[in-house]
Amino acid sequence: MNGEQAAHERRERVLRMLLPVAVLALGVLVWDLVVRLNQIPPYILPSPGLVLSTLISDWSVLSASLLVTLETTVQGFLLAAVGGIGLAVLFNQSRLIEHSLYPYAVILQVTPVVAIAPLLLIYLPQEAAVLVCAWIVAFFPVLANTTLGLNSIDYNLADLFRLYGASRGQVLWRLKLPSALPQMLAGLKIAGGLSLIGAVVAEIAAGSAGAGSGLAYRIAESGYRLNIPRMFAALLLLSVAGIVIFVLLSAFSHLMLRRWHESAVSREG
Amino acid sequence: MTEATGKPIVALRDVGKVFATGTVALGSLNLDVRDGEFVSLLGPSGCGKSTALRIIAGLSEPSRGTVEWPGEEPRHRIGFVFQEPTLMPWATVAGNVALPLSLAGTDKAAARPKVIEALTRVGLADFADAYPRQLSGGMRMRVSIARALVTAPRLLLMDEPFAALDEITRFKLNDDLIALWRELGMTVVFVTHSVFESVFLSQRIVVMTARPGRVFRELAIDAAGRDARFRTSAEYAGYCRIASEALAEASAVPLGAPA
Repeated sequence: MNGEQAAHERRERVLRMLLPVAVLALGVLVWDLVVRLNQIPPYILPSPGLVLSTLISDWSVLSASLLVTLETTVQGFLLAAVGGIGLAVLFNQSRLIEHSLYPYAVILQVTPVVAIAPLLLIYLPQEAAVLVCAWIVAFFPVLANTTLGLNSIDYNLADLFRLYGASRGQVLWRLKLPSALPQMLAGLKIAGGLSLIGAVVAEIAAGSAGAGSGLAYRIAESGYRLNIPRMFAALLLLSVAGIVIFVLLSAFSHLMLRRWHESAVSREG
Repeated sequence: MTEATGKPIVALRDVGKVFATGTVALGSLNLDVRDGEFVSLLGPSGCGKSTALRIIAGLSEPSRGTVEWPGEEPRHRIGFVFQEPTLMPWATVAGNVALPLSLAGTDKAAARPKVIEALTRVGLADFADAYPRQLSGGMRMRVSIARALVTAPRLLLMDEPFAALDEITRFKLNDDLIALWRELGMTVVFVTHSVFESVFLSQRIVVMTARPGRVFRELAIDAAGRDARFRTSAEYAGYCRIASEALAEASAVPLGAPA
């Protein structure tokens, strides 16, 4: 019974790994066949092989752009993490500040960043504007999730801290922040993907040529030049970057919570 | 009705509590807790026994009346055990037990022997580095008790600590609690709605009425051996009957009538 169950679980795990790969392979195959059979020219739809070879041949241009976009993304993410967590802590410590500022955090969040980006580009140097866009999109989930976490502490534990004469700082540092960690990490996981989106949106809006041009700019530029294979190659790189960011943040979250939080603990029996 | 076992360690004088919602949790409570005794507050739910405990602990301010501490240092020698184990899931067992010490600024190395001593008292010395989620409900409650003991409190306040545990675990913890009380010579105020638990543990049972909560009757339990044999003795059964009747009477007191 037990061995059977283990075998079943193993089969399921292998299936879970194989199925997406199989779907990908099938998709690429269909794509390739469609291009070949219909003899679609590469400036309309390049074949997967051509995208791959473009990725290799244009690697020097694309990798430089990738680095630019990644740098913006990482900076935007870090600022969002610091800003989101910092604001959440500030809101938690002072109702006055929370009531004064929270509506504006929401406004920043609900105003589409595509619409803000052109304005920012007028007032700020391009790099700063792109960074601010990445930050605007990414900080809110960190703020909202951390706030939720800071507000959902165990009230008996809070009483216990009070009973033993804990200072405000001790309550924050030793009770509230550890309690909020799971939600905080969930917010950071969302923010990672969003800061990439923010950076891309701002680059597209910026659109102008320059030495420090990111991947999104490459996509726009390639579009104007009808260099469709390069568009696809850049898009592919963006997706991979997004996936890597997500995986890294998930791993970080798991590492932080694996000892104690239900979400990261595998159940036995 | 009550015997004088020592001078009072804390006394509630005409203590009342009205919540912001208008609910009268405590009517007018007079209660002396004497040094070294084991006293239970027994009553139906809503009789304010937990509120009384929180007021003693200083976690809640009385709406009227006073809490007197005839001796010296009041609050920092209190241990509190909640109905839930109330452990920090992100900290190890040792980390949880060390909390009262580290909040007071004791450094880790100095706290460690006290933590191990407290854990040894509850039989969990081998689990110092485990996380709460790895423990059973009974073991978590033991950790909670160890944390309350780590400051060597003179007064241990317990708010229905074993209510959520199964009977076998509860009996075992009752036995252990009696042993700890004897060994450490502390004062225990134990809130419960279980007649059997209160009779087994206490020297004195304070039966309370509900809405508003106040003392209905006090019962002294003069039994020497509190062990497995006591639990099945006629003496125990007799006390349980008396306490049950008192509780039934207390619950039957019409709302607002004088006790």
